[in-house]
Amino acid sequence: MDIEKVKSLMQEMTRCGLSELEWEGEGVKLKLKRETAAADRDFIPMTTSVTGDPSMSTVGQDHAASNQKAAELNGAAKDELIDEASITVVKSPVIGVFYAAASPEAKPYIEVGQKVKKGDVLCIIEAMKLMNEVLSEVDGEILKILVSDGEKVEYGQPLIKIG
Amino acid sequence: MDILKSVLTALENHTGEWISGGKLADQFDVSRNTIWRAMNNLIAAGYPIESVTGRGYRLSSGKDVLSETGIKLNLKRPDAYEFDCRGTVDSTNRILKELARDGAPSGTVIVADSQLKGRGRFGRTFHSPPGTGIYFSFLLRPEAYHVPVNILPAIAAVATSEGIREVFGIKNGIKWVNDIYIDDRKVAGILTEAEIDLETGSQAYVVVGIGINVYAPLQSFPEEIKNIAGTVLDGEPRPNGRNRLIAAILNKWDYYSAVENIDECSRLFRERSILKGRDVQVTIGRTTYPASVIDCDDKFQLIVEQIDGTRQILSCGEVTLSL
Repeated sequence: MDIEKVKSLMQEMTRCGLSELEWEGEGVKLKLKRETAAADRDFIPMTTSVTGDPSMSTVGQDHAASNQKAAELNGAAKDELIDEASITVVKSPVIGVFYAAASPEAKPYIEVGQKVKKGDVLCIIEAMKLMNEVLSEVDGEILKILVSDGEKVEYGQPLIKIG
Repeated sequence: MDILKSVLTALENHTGEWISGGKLADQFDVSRNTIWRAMNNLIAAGYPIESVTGRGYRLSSGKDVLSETGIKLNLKRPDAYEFDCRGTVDSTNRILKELARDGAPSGTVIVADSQLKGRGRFGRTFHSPPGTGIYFSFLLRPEAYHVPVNILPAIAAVATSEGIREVFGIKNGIKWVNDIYIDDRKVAGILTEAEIDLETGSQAYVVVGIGINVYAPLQSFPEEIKNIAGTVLDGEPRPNGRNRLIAAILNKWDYYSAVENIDECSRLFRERSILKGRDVQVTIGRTTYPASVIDCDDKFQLIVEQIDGTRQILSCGEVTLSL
């Protein structure tokens, strides 16, 4: 890999706010990581397509620069990043009240860090006494729960991030 | 089925009285053997029918046995529903949701004589003792309804209210959204649960669970609901009462959930509302405020007025009567 290629990779990383990149030869082993600015404490690890070839080559990085750039990123670019990294944002399918558990005494359906499988119940949204169980579309880990128990939510409002 | 229904109707019309097989055979223009077979079928379905040589048959009074035959005989569309009548279960909703996930079709109905873990909203228990109540859940797939899914619980309330009126002739009211009240006591509750498929953004299925205190329980209601729970009837059980009520509610459901009858359904829902003009506490998630109820709108939503005069149209959350 020549120096120009490394430079262009670094530029691309900065554009996306990435703080780490591991890359292997043409058999492809890729690891991308973004550490966001301190103000936004959500840590979103991202790992993509890991396969084959053990030959290693690492690319240098500049945390300070990328973090600063990350802070400057606009919302659109962030969304794009999320899509690229296959994070699923569960949005409310209806207007209603968000419930994290089947009853006030019960354990919540999910907690941050918990692994979920496709088809697992994530939460309930109540509207006109219709208790809608929202199921996970994907296998993954709960990264963030964006609303709290008993909160009124709008149609399309992001509820949960799964990665 | 027709002869079964005719025979059952004749027995019910003369509950506690003897009717001879020969007389029934003449009346329905069938053989005595056909009457005999019909009686055996009814007995097999759980009907308390006695037979004495020389006197004939009679339906014992004071008993109300749940049975699939008894329900189907009173259904307008018996082929639209598939019943599974059980004795004691944990929760009819829970069983039906499991069947739904395994692909059970629309119209699957679970009926139980009692529930060990009858559930109300948010995991609250629904007291479901044996022999005196109705606990049933029916399954709807999206192709089975053509009205907005979030009005299904309100339609179930109207169907239940109308069913009770038709079968027992008893006036009752609806407390928004889907509780049935008689004289300020709750006699029936409904828990409607759906599963949302995020890929389509719509419901994969809806389970409507209805629990009704038809007769006074053998032991009195538990302490915590003693002052709020009531029963539809005071006296002794009526033969076939629960079967007829389940059938009537499903018949009413078929009628009121039809698109062309939604206006009528909404009008009844408003008329039956016990909340109009009353002071309530509105609870939406963790927010609570006092208000007075103005009316329901034609979308089955509740219009309330806060103390400062601001009006809110409620489509979620719940209200409790301020006593």
